[in-house]
Amino acid sequence: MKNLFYLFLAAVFIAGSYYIFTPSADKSQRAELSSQAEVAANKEAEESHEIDYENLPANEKALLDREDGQDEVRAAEMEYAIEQAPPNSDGFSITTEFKDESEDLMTQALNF
Amino acid sequence: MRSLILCSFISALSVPALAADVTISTDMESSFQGIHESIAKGLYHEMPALFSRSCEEGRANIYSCGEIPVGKLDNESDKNLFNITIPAKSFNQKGFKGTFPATNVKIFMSRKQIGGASIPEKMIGDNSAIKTSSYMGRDIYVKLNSGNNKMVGVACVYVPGAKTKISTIKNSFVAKKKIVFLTSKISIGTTIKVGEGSFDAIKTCMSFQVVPHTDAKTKALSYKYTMIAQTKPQFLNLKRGPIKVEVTAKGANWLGSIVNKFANSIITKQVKAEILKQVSKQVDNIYESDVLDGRWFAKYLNAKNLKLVDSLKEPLKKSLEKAYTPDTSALVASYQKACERVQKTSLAEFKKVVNAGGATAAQMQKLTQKFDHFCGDFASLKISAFLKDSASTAAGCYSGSVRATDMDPLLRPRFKKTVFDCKFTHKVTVKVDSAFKGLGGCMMNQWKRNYSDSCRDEVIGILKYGTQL
Repeated sequence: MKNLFYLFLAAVFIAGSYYIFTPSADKSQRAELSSQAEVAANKEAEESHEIDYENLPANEKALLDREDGQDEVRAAEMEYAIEQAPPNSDGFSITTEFKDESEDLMTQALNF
Repeated sequence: MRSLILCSFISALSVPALAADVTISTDMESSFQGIHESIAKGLYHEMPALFSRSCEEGRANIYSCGEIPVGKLDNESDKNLFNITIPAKSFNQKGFKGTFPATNVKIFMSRKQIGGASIPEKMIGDNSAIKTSSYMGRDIYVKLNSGNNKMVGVACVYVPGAKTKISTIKNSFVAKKKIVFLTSKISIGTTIKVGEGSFDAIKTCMSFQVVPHTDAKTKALSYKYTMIAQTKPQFLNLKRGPIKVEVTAKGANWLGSIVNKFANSIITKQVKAEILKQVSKQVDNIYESDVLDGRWFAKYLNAKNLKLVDSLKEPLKKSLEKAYTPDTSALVASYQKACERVQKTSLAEFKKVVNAGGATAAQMQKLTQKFDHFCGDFASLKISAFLKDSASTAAGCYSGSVRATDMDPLLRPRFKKTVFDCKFTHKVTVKVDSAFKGLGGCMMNQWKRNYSDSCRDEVIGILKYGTQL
């Protein structure tokens, strides 16, 4: 019974050693296989609309890699978007008091 | 015997000079009351629900009286502006696989509307401060002024205030990764928050003009309405309702932190992209920044509000074209009818003079031609329209506004009496043979005073004139 237990421990040790100490040549072979599998997986991911970090554009990766401050990122994005927005594209104005525009409108109608 | 008496009358009157055309004129009036009532009727006819007609209060499935007509009615207190459907999204990060569940974010607006905002409208005959109603359609202000032979006006529409309802949608899912024969799990929780957005009122104004138009073929004079300009809507005290996405991960280790950041960004992007997609279906020119800072709410309402102002244009056009008096085709027809009546009577009398030997058949023929010409002259009458009336200028009629609902003849009139006195004048002129000056003037007075006059003295003058042709 004791022997069986030592045999089990030996098997676990061998398996662990194999996993940890596999030669790099084998690893590269495995990496190649893994790479092929990864391409297939990526294709599959694309088809299934999965998003993979490794395939994200550099700017999005950079955004994700920032240690903290997602709010700051959003704020920066917001400022950028506001700067990029064409002037007067909103079609409305925000005010704390309504302006009286009737004189201008009347002048326009009179001169039309 | 009768002819002899007539002849004695003829000899007693002075004989007008022959030929040479003269201009005769009369003034006519258009009351502000008539024009504003016509505008109010037109608006009610075209938009009964807006003016609290054919609508019911407090129903869950139909817009209430004066309710901003946007959104799908959900219950008695809220309405659904639109839904943001975020589809399920699978992701794989560093071997951690998970699926963000499909989510439906409902954006609601409260049906309770906000009134009481101060507005810069100066009413005719009323200097008190004006505030908005919480009912839509009650704040349409129209100002009329005189232009060069035209009427110009400004109509301002105020939409009552409203607010969005805060909603929070929570989701959770598990991301898993297999390491040899072990499975590592990270619980990810997401919270989507729609912040409160509100505004006190929206104002949009437009200017228009009503100008005389002569038909090239028929020469008939009518009045055409044209819209000149429209202002961009002004939102009073707009508070924005940003949409925020928060993501948290539990069971965090160094991988969990990456998954957290990754999921945070991906989910945030997904939600923002879907919001952009859904809102942009209804609103042009929406940007990601609009979603982040709550401007989407204003843009959405802005687009709906513009449609509302657009919907006012046609009723205004119809009512203003109808409102304008004088109707020149009716004026010409009336003059011609009167002229034919006078011509018939006069020539019948002149025939008696001819029969009695007081005039010749040739003179009869010439007088008939003169009458034909005179009656034809009225078809080419000219109108200098929409002139300022001095008393109306002094009363501030051309610088003050009138609220459309105050002019609803079926509601209790709430306008100040000054509006009764406000008017435009129109100068009607026509060139006639100088011999017909008196008769033409008499006929114009008939029209102005709206009573039938035989113009007997003037007819006798014409008969005398006929004997000298």
